[in-house]
Amino acid sequence: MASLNTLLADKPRHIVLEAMYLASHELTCSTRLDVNSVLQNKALDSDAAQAAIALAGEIIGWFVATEGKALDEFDDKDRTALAQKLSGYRLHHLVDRSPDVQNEARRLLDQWAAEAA
Amino acid sequence: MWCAPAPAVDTLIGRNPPSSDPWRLFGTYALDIRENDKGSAVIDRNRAGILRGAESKLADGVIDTNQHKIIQSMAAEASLDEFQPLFMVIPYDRAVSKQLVEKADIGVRARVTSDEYIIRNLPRDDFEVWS
Repeated sequence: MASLNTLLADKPRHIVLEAMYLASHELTCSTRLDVNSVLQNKALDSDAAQAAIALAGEIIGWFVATEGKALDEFDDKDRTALAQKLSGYRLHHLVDRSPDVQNEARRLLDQWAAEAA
Repeated sequence: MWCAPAPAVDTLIGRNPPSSDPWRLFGTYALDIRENDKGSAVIDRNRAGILRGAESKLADGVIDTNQHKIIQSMAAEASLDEFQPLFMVIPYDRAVSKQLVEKADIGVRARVTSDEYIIRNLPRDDFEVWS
């Protein structure tokens, strides 16, 4: 069976990001996805939105096949496993990890934590 | 921003579905954070939602590419204890009078009978934060 990386490789970044959001929403809310039930992201045109929904379906389908059970039979452990795979892919393939960006992100998070303390 | 009354109202069942019930969403986030669930699927959904929102705000010209990169980095790399659920309490009548509120179309609601709203731009003066 193909890996998650293989499934998402060569897909446009904005479609993958949207698909991962939709898949995580379906995973945690059991919301069935179709074109008419998703509030369109302004970053996507209608063709890209439909491609993202289709890709989200592929992601869920891939994980259902990997686990060998239906989505509505998933427990918290299964949901965590997919969430971690999605999170890892996002972090390593979709987010800018240059030192300047990471340092500024860290500085802001630390600043907010200090303000909240 | 997706909004619902708290307590949420479904005209037929008396309570919105979990994905559009503010109290239940708050409770789910709070529980996973309090129990230090580093693999929390709902926190990961929240990260994915922030990344999605950043894409949309970039497309709208609200943020620039540098801010977009930093927001995405923050959302992806923040540790669990850097998340905190909060309520944004929005006076409904005032928001309506300022034409900030859209009623969610039936097709995009969590359930067709649930009471859900969309606010695309919310000035800081028009909400209070409670956590």
